[in-house]
Amino acid sequence: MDSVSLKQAKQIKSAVNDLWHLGTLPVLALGTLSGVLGIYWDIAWHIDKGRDSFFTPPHNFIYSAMLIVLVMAVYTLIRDRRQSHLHFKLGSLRLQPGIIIVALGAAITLFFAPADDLWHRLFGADITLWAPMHLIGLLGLTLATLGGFIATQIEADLNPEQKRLFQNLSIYFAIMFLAWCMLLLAEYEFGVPVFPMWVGIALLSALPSFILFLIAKLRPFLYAATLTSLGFTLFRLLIAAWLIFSDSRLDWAGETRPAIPLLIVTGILADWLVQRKVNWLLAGLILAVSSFLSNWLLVLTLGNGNWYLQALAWGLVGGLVLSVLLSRLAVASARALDLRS
Amino acid sequence: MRRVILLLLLLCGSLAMAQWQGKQGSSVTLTIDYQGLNQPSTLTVITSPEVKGELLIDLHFRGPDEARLGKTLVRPLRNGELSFPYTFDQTGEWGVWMRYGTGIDTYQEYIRFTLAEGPRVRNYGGLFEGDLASSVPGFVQPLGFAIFGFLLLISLVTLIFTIRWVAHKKRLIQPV
Repeated sequence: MDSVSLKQAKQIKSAVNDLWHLGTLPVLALGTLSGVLGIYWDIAWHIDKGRDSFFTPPHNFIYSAMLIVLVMAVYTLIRDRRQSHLHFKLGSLRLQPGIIIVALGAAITLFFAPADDLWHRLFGADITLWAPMHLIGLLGLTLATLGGFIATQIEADLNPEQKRLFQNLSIYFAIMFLAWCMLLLAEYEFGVPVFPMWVGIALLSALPSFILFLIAKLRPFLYAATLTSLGFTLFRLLIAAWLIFSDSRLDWAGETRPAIPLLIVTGILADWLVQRKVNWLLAGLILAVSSFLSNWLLVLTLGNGNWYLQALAWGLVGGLVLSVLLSRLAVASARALDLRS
Repeated sequence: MRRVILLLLLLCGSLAMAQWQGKQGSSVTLTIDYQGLNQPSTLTVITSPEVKGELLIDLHFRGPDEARLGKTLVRPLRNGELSFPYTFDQTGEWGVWMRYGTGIDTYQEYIRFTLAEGPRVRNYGGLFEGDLASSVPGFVQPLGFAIFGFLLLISLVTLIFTIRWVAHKKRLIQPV
């Protein structure tokens, strides 16, 4: 059997201890936060202040996120020389799998910047988040965040003495990944959707299932999914506070604010489902219904009547199907990344 | 190879310099059956040729300083028509911004109207204008989404490959 001992495999021959001390994870953490904040701020800016120049304050936050992802991917690929069992060997390089995903996100972001500019020049202005080139940019930064999450899991495995630090970081990156997923729905949250309403309802019902079920399975803490959904809510409240402050004090935003998706119940349920050892099929269905119902109640409470009957029906069906698929993916990912295995 | 790249750059530059002109969409008639202040009035939107899909409407009062949000509504059009109730709470200038289509292939129109005290039925006409340039063929947006789909597929494959590789390596180091 092709196997080596656990002790031998975990030997790391390098001066660099881990990606925290190398600076990769703290800087990447800042970059992912900067991107989400910048994009929400930018949409609010576009709605209330109209078109803008290249270097507006929200644009600077987005560019910072892109720059950080690019620089940290290249820097880490060069600097990380550890020869652990979980490093992918490519010539003289030793690639941490999480950083491979960050680098892929960086490459897509690098493609996005000139492609988006060329697209605008050729086909005119497209003030929508879901314009093809914008989606490519979002994909790049979301992948980089997921890469950060995977990197923390692997670092926790490689550095048992620093396990608690990387477990805390994994919760942070889970929160940021959830924020990036929900960012896809920003135009729905601002009340100016550019795509059919049912698509927004389906994505809102399904997208949280992946990371909440995954983090509940990995269980760095007892109530990891609950913590993630609470952290997400707190983060979105901070963004709202920033938009209010920048509007009232700095005149850097308008009066339009995004609605905050209600995912706390879904987080609690994800933890409960994992503790009860419920299978992925049922879990996917329950999590989708939970996200759907929580946010439908929120929409009804806020008095926004845009979730009309036809959109509700199609949105729920689409959300259930997608949520089941994402729950299956979460289970497969958890098996691979589980620290306790 | 260098010639091809130069030719492509030249083509892109020429297209970029071409004057951008928006596409025209359907015409629209907005009928406001105004019943007076704080009374439920009815607004009817009729499009021709009839628009299919959802229409987004943002109805707001245009104050002396800046626009204020009134009501945002997303509803499907039936036979190109949509009616909805609204209770106006002040006289003066109001605005209705309407949009249909998806992504960058959207069409929008903005109509202003002034409300006085008494009930009245009034019609306003307009023409939707598209965000895509008139010279841009319809397949451009689907092509853009295809590029995005391709990159998404590559990302998913890489992600799955990486996770499977990690799982494989972890299995290898399990104590025998």
